[in-house]
Amino acid sequence: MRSSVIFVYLLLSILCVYCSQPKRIVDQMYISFDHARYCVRRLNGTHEIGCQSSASGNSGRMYMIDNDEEFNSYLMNTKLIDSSGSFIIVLNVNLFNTYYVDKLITSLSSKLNGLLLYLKSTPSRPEYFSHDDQCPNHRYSYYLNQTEIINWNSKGTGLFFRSFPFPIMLIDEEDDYKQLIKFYRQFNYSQSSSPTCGLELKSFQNAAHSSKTCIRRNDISHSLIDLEETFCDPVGGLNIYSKLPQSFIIIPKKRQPKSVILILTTTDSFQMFLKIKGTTGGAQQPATSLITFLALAHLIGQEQNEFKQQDKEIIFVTLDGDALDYSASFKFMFDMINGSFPIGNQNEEPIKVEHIHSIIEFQSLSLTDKLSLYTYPSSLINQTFIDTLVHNNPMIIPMAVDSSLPPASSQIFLRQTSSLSFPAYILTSTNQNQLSNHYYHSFFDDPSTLSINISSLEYNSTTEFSQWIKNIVESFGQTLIESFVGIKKNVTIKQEIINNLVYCILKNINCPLIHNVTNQSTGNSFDSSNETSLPFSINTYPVAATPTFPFVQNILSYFLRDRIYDTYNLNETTCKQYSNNDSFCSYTYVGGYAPSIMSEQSFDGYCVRSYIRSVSSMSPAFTIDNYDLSQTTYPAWTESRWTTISLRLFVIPTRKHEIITLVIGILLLSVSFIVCFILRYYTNISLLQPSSS
Amino acid sequence: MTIMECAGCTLIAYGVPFSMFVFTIAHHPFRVIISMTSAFFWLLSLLLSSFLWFAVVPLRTQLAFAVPFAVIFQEIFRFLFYRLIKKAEFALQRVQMQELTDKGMVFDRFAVAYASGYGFGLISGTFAIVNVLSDMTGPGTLGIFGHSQDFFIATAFLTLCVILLNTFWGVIFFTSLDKGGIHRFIGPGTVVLTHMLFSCITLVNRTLTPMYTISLIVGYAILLGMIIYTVVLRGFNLNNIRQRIN
Repeated sequence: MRSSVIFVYLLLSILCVYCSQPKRIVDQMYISFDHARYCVRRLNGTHEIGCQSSASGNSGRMYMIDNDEEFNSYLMNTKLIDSSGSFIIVLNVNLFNTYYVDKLITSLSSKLNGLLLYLKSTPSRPEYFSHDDQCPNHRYSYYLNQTEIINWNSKGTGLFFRSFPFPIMLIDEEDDYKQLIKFYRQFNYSQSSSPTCGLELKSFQNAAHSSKTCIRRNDISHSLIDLEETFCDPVGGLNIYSKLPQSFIIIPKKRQPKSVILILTTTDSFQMFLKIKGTTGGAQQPATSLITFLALAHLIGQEQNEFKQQDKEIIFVTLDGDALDYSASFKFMFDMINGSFPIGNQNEEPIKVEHIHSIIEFQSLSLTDKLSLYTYPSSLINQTFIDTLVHNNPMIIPMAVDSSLPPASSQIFLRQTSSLSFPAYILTSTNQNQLSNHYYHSFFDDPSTLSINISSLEYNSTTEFSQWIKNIVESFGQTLIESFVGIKKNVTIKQEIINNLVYCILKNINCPLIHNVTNQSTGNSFDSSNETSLPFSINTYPVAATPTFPFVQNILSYFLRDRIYDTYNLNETTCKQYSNNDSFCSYTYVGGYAPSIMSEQSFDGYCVRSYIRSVSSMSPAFTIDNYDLSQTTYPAWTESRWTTISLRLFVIPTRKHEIITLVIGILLLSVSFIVCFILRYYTNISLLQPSSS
Repeated sequence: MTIMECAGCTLIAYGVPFSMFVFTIAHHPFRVIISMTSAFFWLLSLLLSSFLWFAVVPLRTQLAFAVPFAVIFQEIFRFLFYRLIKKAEFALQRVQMQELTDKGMVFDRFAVAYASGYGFGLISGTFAIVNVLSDMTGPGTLGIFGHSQDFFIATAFLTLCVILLNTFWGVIFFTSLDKGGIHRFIGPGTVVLTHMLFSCITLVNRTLTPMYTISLIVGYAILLGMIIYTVVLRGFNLNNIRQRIN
């Protein structure tokens, strides 16, 4: 027994010896690109979009196309096209639009095995790069039906919403591009039959066909054989809302009609090309709107004594999931109509459609000289409010009455109430019916488009951008006070607060601000996202460990906190005791964010009384019982799951070489077989004679 | 699509040994057992060599250190296998199984030596080539870093050489030890020396632009020499051969 144990141990150690051998041939054969962006598959109720590769990867001969002339000469070079069974076309990112892609697909048909896009260098990025539709979020009936259809994103290619049978990847790092071009020039320049470079793209997606099929497959379990395997996840994150912790309408007290104002913004975006540990874009949309939103929340919190003098509630709402057919807005309206807004306390009177006074939205803001204010419907809007706003901020230009709304969450709020209940005010950056964002829903939408030099941005740097935000927020806050409280007051917000928000959201989410407004354990959870900006991408349910939601929750609730508690010197246990008596608000003990605190005394820690709620923002399609996902009542977006994504470069052997090897092998086998056969039957050599020993 | 190359190299390396197996070993259960046991002994020798490699930590990256010791260990285990066979033959003769002899189950020393060498060679060749074959199944081949494209064919031919060489070394080793006298030293000595020569020549293949031709020519030259030596050792002359052919 003992000897066999020792033997097994010895055998295992031999295996370890062999496994730890780093010098395998495969390391000398392939060059891996680990920082490539990839395109994944997503599904809605009836269709699939995105890219798919075969399970073992799509490989082919590499061919590089840098400009239009090379493109045309390649398509006319039938000899080259016939020489290989599959191609991976390496395309300059400037050529990635419907014209070139469709031409490649029709000319090469099944020979096109994959597409690799490259960016030569950061300054050479294309001027427009957006793969959303020309009229974003305008599918089925998931928008407000208005007479005129405007192409807000006229340079959009719509390629994001197409389904490709091959994988598409993108390399955006200069080192990767240099390596690629070096080997390409070395091997593929001569069109002789010397070995050429090939690429293999592997991005196998588990989901297929449509959300309905995929969700059905998720539930199939072969019980005895294997566990359930999840192929796709529904799109959804958290809708977060918060307000000043003033008085609460406790049943049986009745809520007054038209007493709630909603301020909306979104926290999600999408990109066609994802990257692990890479930037997600989203600097103009939604980061700029989010920063404006949070700064306004701080301003309202700062002036809470004024707002206490009137009876209207201002609720700040962030929606997550609106980039794809407004899933989050549908969910929010669904909750509101069914009486589950706000959640948390059954004693609180629900807010229904008739209680909403108006909605204000910050959407698609960019660093522009002029801002557009869209309002709808003309029958319900308050012209005085608009006039005050324009008077306080001449940058804002009100759009014509009843003009078509840009893509905005408010469209769904109006659609679900048939535009009969409350007006919507949308602040956005458009110019002559065009979004000012050249990189709408693309990873190129980074801080450089906001004239921010991200590498030199410090925690308290005042930039042109943060001053622009201060201007907008102050005038907006002033207008809100004028309209609802009725007094004219010059309000200011400290530049430092906006600088800090810009730094945290656009550069490093693990910043002093978030640590000052959270308790120790929550603050430590941000350490893992050090040196990363706030990610803006499609979130799926179950909610992954994205730092977006804790960030927004903590900062929003802190900014709208009950400021009387800033003057109390409490310790942690007392703070906890308070929370036992109050079932509406949450009490956290934090270090305190100095620029926000107005009182002269400063303490080691502060008890923060705030009102914050988070609800899943998954489309109602996934939560309603027996809902047929192919119906188009509610959007039903899901994202596929995948395992490994890899991009490899290697040399393809010539056809001649392969055939020669195979022929030699077959020859050797057959010749030796025949020789042995002859020797057995025609000679007397004892070795070859069949016997029983 | 280097599945073709992988199939080709597999056939090159294992084509001849496969034919040998079908016609000389498959029909004889005793030889099958001898081959498998012999392969196991080779594995044991590899185990010992890897212990040595593992133990000498600073020289782990220097393959040139491990190779001669691997050769020595292999030959030691070949000798140990010979001793084992001797004991089995002795035991069988003691039992004097008349029925078995009538059926033709004779202890053919030459066949046993051949089968043992074949087993040794087969497992040795497998360990040499199977990793390379599995890496060949991907879409690419060697060349991106400037290696020669002929690596795979050369490896396959070298593996074939190794398998055949081991077969003849087995025959020479056992036959020489059986003959006794001066052959007891010349035979094993030749085997060890040529084995060492062959293994060290293959180290040349590890440079970036290797001359595969050197190791291939040396290997096949050694093989030819071993074949001639075997023939001489077995006492064949022209008359005998003519007899056999008829």
